[in-house]
Amino acid sequence: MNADNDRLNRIAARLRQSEPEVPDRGFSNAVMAQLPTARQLPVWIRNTLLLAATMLGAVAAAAQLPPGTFFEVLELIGDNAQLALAAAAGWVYAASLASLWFVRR
Amino acid sequence: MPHNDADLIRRIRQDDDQQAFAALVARYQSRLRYSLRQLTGHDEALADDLAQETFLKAYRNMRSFRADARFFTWLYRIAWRCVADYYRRQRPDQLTITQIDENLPENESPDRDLHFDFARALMHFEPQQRMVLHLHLQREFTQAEIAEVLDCPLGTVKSHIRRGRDKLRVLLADWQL
Repeated sequence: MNADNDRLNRIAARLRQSEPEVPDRGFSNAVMAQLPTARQLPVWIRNTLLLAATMLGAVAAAAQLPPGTFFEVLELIGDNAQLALAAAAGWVYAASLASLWFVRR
Repeated sequence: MPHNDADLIRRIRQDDDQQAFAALVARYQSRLRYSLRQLTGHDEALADDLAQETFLKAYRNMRSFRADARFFTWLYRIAWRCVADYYRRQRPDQLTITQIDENLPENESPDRDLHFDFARALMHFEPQQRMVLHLHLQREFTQAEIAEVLDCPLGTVKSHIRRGRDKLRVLLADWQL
């Protein structure tokens, strides 16, 4: 019995050592061709779109102000100018994210 | 540059990166297709269909993959479900021992007769026991891993291995290594 067990173990070891490589022959391409369309854009495209949308949004917002008003608004805001600018940028960024989410849907 | 499985899986889960998935398919296609050939009596067309189905299900369910598990073990878990579903759909009279084409040019292993005889011997077992014996003897999975792949009790795996080895010794009696 033990000798038989050893023989089976040797057979199994030989099978593992001599396992042939199955050539791909188009198998991987066939699998990839059946995958569903990617749900998300690649990261670099997403980031580029986000940056571009943010910049466009900022320019569009600034264009709404009458000439020279931008600096007057800054003076009015006074010490809180940085905070106000950060809040505005955050709002534009959030709006851009929402637009991207909508486009992906 | 080669990436480990965890990196590739992270890219697929986060960014739906299909190139990362292509790398996983390239890495595991040979081993999985060989396994499925062994389990289907070297029916290459059937084995490749099952392998494709396995990879597609793996892609669709990648988010349910637990990071602490081995990807290869998880892949076999899916493959087993595909194999079991296939044999469940077959009528008993359609199940025959496939005639193995021994002139396949791609099998240039010096031990190809041994591989064919082993595949033939496996076809004398029910699909579940066949899978257990393949994973135990050819893939060296632990008994616990096999139980996880087949989603069955450890005792069933142990019993399949004990009885299967007894029967295999007889079926492969001509092989004196």
